[in-house]
Amino acid sequence: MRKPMAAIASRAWRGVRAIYPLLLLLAAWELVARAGLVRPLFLPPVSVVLERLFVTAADGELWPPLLTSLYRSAAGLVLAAVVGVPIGFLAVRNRFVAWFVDPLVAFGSPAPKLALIPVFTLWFGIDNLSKIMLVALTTVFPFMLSAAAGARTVALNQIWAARAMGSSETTLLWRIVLRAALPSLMSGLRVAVPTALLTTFTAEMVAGGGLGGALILAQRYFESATVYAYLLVMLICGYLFDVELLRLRRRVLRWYEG
Amino acid sequence: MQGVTGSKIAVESLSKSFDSITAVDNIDLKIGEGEFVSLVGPSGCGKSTLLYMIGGFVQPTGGRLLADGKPITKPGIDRGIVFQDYALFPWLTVYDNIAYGLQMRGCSRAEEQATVSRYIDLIGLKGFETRYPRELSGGMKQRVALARTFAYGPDILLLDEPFGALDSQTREIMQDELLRLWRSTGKTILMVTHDVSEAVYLSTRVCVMSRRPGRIVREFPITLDRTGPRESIVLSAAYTELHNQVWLAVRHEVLVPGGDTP
Amino acid sequence: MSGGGTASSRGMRLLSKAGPFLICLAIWQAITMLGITDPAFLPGLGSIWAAFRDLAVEKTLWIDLATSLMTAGLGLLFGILIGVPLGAAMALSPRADGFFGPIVKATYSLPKSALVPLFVLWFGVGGLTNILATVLTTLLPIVIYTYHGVHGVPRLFLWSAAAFGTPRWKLLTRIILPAALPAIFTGIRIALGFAFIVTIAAEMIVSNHGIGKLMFFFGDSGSYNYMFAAVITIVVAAYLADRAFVILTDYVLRWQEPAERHA
Repeated sequence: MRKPMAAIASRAWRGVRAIYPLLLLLAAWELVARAGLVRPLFLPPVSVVLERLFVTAADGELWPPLLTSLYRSAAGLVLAAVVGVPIGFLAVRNRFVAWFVDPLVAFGSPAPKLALIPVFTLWFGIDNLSKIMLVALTTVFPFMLSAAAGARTVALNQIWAARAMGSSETTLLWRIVLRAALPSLMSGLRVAVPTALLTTFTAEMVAGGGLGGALILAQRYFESATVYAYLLVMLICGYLFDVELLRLRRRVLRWYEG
Repeated sequence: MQGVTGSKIAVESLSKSFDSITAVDNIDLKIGEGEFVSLVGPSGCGKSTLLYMIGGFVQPTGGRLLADGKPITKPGIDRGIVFQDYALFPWLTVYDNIAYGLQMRGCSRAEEQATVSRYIDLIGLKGFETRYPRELSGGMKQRVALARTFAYGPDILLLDEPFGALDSQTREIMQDELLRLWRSTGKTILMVTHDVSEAVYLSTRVCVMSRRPGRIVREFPITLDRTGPRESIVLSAAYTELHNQVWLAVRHEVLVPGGDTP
Repeated sequence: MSGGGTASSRGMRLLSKAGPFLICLAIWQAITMLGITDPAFLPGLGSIWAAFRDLAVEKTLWIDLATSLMTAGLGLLFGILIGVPLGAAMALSPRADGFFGPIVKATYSLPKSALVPLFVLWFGVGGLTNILATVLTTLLPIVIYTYHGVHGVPRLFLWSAAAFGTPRWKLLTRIILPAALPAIFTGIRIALGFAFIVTIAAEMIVSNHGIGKLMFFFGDSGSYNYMFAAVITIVVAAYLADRAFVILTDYVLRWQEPAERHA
């Protein structure tokens, strides 16, 4: 019975060693704040921040803005995927689409789409739609690029083999190309999701609503603990989504290999 | 100054293991000054590992290595190396690549320029001084690689399948180039190759290694008259006889059943 | 993307690439002229151009543009000055990697523009807030790409250099950094894009100065043609900065196989 205990202990120790700088920083933060070296306005102690986090979660203050933000990000991503992935595929097969889309993507990818926040707020109002459209515009590029890159990996003989077996064009497209493009699409997703969150939060900080808007309000009312708490929430969100995406990617690719 | 045994390179009871795999087992090898020794053997027999240990890039797990009677512990300017790939620094021009070793030695500008242009002429690449490696063909790249290793003057040259990536015609031209450089400079050369004919053509001695764990199972002294053109050497009876012997020895090692198969 | 060919063929290629933009502009103009939408929401190209000329003459545009470019530029500069040594140190020293690695990974998921309100708490609404947010944003890609670049230097390069008698510190400057430069430049290019994004975000959130403030101001006051003019200016400026950096990359990395560039 002692062996499993030793194994758990050594794994725990390795885990601690892996994140020790973070623990160190957190400890330093708590000490500095508690010792009164910095004004509590600027740096409330970690314990206070965590307490605030739990309070907002428990009494329901956190959830409406958070869920709004998540909804906006998700809707924008879905829209971008539905538009971007087919265009990406089409660009590989159709020369006119490629001619039209390539320069737009070359220009649009490095362009700061966030600069369009005022424009979209004008067009779609300050509520959900403007954020959704902005997220969609920003994330359509990684979807297009990764779809096109993935479609290009389809081996020509795979298509010929399918054609020989009498597949119609749509079946052809979906079964072979989508499957071949899956790894690339997963990479694109890994870029698109954090971008969506970033865009949503930033747009909200400018134009209001959601977690970003709540963050700005907290800052304006000098509720520093809330500011830190919401930052922590954003961090956790981003981290959880990344972890989930990695798991999804592994599962999808395992099926892809087989 | 040569060591007690009179060898330029002395390998004594050398072994190398990685975890549970023994790459090289109890190797003894003496290489005299001015010799051209080739190591041949089946793939994965550890010949490159042996070369890397002599170069000081890999540490042995057992035995001794001496160069000029002094132990080999790390890379040094007395032992130059040419690899099959990554032979040149891609961010440096042809001139800068050849000049690199000279610059590390702290040569004066004048001496550096003189040496570099001499070698550029020697390898027939005049006019290519400002080109980057990506603009050169495989043969040209290896020519520059040889030149820069000869240029800064190490006594010992270690070559790891230097012509393996070249097509057979370029390879033959490069072999003659190497032969010419060796004969005019008198350096000590240790070359790893999987090409038996190349080994016999160039070397004064060919060592055949067994499959992993690698040991030197046979040594063939090679005496050929290399003063004539390639045809006179390759078509001679002496060459053919030696080539067949070495080839049979290597084939024997390749076909040995079992052993440490990858 | 070859640069050769006759002037006319180059002109043809440029025209071909401009085609989609011209089509979009034509559609825009058609929509405004046909009165499909309220002119307030979609100002005609003519009125946007007039607004742009007005701003350009008044110099407000250039001052604010310069401010934004300076913020982004300084942010990127400090990101490079801190990030490249940090990334290299992490790749070369397991202790540095053990210490900074978890910190870098932890900040990975945080949208850096969210730091702007925090920095406002600390530093107020001055330019420092903007620059600091930009620096922190550019640090991440630069550190990560430098790390991978240094880490990925083929050991045969290091062995060759050692055989040539390269002393350890020269190994870093003469071998490791040049070999890692392609990856570092990729990281800087990404950081450049981030720098613009965060600069504009900060300027819009804090409204202290710069094009972001200008855009916000015009949007608030309903002068939409001016707003569009400002938006287009910064978008084009960011695009040109990216293009300029690509040209710089092509020169500095001219020794690289063209296929390996812009990884």
